[in-house]
Amino acid sequence: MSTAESSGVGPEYQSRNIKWSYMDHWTMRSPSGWVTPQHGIKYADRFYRQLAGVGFQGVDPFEFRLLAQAQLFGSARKAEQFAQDRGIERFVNMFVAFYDDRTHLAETHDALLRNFENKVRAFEGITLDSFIVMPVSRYWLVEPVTDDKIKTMAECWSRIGRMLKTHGIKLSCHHEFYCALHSREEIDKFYAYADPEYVGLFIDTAQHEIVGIDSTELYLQYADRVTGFHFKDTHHTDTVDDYRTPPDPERAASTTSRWFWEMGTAEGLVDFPKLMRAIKSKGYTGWLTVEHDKADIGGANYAESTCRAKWYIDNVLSPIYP
Amino acid sequence: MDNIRWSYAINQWRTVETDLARLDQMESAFKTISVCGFEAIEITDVALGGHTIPAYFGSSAKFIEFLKGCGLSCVSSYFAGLDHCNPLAPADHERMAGSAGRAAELLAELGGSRLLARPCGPYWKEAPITGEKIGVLADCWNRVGAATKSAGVKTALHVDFLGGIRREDDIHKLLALTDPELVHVALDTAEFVIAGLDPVAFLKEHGARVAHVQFKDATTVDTFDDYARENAEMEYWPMPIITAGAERGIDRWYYEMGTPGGLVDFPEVTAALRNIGYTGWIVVESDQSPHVEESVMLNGWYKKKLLAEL
Repeated sequence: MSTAESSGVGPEYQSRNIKWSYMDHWTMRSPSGWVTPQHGIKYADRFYRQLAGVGFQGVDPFEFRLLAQAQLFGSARKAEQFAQDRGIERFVNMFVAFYDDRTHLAETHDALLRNFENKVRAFEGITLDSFIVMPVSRYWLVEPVTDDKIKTMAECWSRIGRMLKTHGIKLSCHHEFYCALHSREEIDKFYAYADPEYVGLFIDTAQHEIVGIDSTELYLQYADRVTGFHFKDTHHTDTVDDYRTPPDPERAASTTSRWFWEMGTAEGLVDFPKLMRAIKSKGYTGWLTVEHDKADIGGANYAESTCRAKWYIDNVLSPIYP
Repeated sequence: MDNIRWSYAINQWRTVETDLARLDQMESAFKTISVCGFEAIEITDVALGGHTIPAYFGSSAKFIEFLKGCGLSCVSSYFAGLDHCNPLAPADHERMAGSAGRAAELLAELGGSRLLARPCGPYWKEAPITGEKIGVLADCWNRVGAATKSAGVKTALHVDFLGGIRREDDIHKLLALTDPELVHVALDTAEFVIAGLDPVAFLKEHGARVAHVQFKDATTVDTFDDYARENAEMEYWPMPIITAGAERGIDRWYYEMGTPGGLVDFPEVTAALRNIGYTGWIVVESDQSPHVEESVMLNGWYKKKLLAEL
């Protein structure tokens, strides 16, 4: 018997084209203050029950969160089994956190490759579709962003992507609005230089929207290279060059204290139905990921945001492309 | 389990005055309840009851339209305070019946069929509970039950561990003195367990009188008679204050279904409901939850698990 079946709360939509995964930024209240699911087995238990209960089938962990869970449960595989016992099918993509992101400097590349080889070994007990990376540092640490620098970044990730592919893992580049590959021009140059066999594009709807990029148009241009999506919304575009704000534009920019929102808010700028129709038109099948990044700013909370987003999926997006 | 419908109590979204005060807050709460697998809500006087729906929406029909837009179908039930009257005061009975009748009419418009009320005020205020007092209560609830029946709504008395009617023999006496066509029981699993009552045994003995069920869990039985202490429960707005157990560090009596250490055997209770042929609502509650959205998600998970096991 599969583990999802053993909990009785397994995936309900197995015959569908799309499965929904959830990127773990979760925080929750505890008697000792705010904690994440990694702070103890009882918190992990609540986290996975809540996600499976509303119908999420996969989880995308951060590398540092998965490492903590591996420590908590004994191994990454045991951590995944714990999630499966509560109705989660598997871990899908891992957002990689610990590496030298100065990929515009060629002298960092050898060490980076070794670093990623070590990551593969650390998580070899589980099957991950993608390692997701921000392909270069924050803009203010790299600028001016030149063609030569972009070419160097592309060489780095082509090399790492080739290595990952031998282990069955895709290399997925995720373009934060403040990273040094953020504009449409920079993204186009990067993918022109990068090897299409080894370097994939992971579209984050809110990050691109903040820059002023239409995620649907981006997807339609790069459909063959797109390895996944983060579905999240924003209420703002960056019209004042917030992307250059040191030290961290996600937390310290002038436009807003909260860039990211769940799907389904009235002020949301991303046209998700349009993107879903495009995804359908290309015959995309497999995992889509919901991400709520810093959803607890201003007294909000992950549980409420997640319920609202999943409601939006069930009532708006799934009818377009189940 | 086809004859059972699942609803969720909305009162925990209304613990302070700024909660559930705007339409966007209602929308968020309703969508959360919907996506977690529940199809209706249970309201109270302070949580969408009384004049709230007409004031916000103009009519019951417009509220139902809003509710359906969020993925819910109706209001299952209404836990009413009946104008803060005292069922032990015969002079209050007429007013209570009138209030219940109006609440039942509103509830019927909202698609609901069960009006809940406490059979008696707090134990610490009303004790000792004598046979004579139970007779007065029976008169009250027969009258209230008749008032709601004309609107097609059953009156269901909600037994809770802090209330005057909390001992098994007192419940039996009250049921014996009331008309089974007019007065029913709302069985709340956590309240029963905290009071030291066995919900499964009760269903076997009095299943025919049970017209409503509420599911929540508990981790502690009140073996220290906390319910009897002065101010064990205090009136407050929008929610009453429970101080029972505070001296021994109990901040929270009620928990989500499936909580480790939970005392309610939900598979057994559900099997007992099936055995008596129960038809109607199971309303899940999040009373005292520190985080209501997390609680409804956990309860939604457990409900799926429970139904899968059955």
